[in-house]
Amino acid sequence: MFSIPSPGDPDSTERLLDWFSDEPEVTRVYMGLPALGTGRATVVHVDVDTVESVAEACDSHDVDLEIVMNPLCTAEVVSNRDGFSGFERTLSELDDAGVEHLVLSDPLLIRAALERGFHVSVSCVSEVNTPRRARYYDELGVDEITLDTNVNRRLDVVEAIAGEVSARLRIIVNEGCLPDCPYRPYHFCLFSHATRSEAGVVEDSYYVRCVSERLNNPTLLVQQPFVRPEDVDEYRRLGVDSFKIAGRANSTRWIRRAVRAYLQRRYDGNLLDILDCPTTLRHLVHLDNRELDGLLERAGRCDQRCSECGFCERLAERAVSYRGGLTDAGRPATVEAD
Amino acid sequence: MPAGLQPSRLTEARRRAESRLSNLLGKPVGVLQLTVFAMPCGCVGVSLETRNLVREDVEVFESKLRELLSSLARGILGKKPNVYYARLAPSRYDVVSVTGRIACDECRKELEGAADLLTF
Repeated sequence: MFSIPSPGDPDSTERLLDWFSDEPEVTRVYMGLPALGTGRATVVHVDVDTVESVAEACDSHDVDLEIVMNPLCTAEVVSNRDGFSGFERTLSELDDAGVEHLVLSDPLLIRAALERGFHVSVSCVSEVNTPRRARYYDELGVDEITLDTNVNRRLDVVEAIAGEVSARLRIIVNEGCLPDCPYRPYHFCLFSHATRSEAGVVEDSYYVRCVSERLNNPTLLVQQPFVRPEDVDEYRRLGVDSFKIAGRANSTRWIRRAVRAYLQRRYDGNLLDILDCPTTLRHLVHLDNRELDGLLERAGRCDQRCSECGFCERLAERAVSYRGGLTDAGRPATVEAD
Repeated sequence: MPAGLQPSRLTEARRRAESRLSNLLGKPVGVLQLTVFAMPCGCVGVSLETRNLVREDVEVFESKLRELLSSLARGILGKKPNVYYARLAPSRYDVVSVTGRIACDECRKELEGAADLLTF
């Protein structure tokens, strides 16, 4: 039911699996394989040999391993025969390594993987956010569709998609991206290239901007498309089958805290502690999860007419507080830097 | 260890710098990291990695930013910087960091012409 992240090395994966060995709800571990590029940074060197070692660790704990290859930009793979042959070779190597589950984004790559017998989960990068788009993938024969996180707060859409497809539905619960983020496709495109170790990607400008947007407008923190641990079961009632906990670029300690919160269906404290991307924010801002009790009841039927509603803005005034030096913001400066 | 480099003083200096920037600009500005650096050429300095600081803020408040960085450098390194600059994201809108540097002669000339920097 829960897919949990691995940074990608066997030792970290073993540690995580040991921590959660008595938790039957942890059914899958996922990790990035940056052969084609992926949607998130991969913090350790990963190749097919690494994947094989991690697969053995997962197998010994009776947990499935899922390999994520979800770049937004696939031009170098699908536009020439050599590129596609490289992808096909990777599939063969993964098959030899014992991998059965893949997360992919491009429908052309998905079709090729399905033809080779892999179980495929559609990535959130594919932005499945309508029943019609979901049907395209369903008709390809995918096992699972991971929804666009922007529909996490559109319960009517989640329910409609669940009713239209035979594939299992999965949602990402702890993504801390901007709501309807205008940078999202471009940021994913940047990651596609940056994770392939190509020259020329030296700065993550979107990361700088998205942290700044939220510091400037704390209402955005409340509107981020996270699913609180307390609300997971509400999504099960709507037809969501499984839940992905984001965070594969973080430490195992961070991952443990986030996974525990979702297993316990509760987190008391700063919700930003368990939201992925950008994790830096938790050091600057406190988002009181208890103040968010009841959020889904209202936010789940949001029509985004914020100027008429103002609910999130009022909630942010209660739930969001700045930490550190920012606590003094707005007051006269009374201290010297030295 | 010089008094200015004591961990508790550095932590407090970061916090105060964040607070001063926020008060100066009238909006929350995050300082993710205060860095004290020394380079092989002889340059030393202090740098603040910022969020929610943009190029226009630096252009409008350059003298105040110089005061802040100068105050930090004097407190931590005991010297006043001779070069102040902001490092810009490639789009040249967001400021990634602001730095006060006691630069060597060679670097001082080179910093003036760096494409990703805004000297002030």
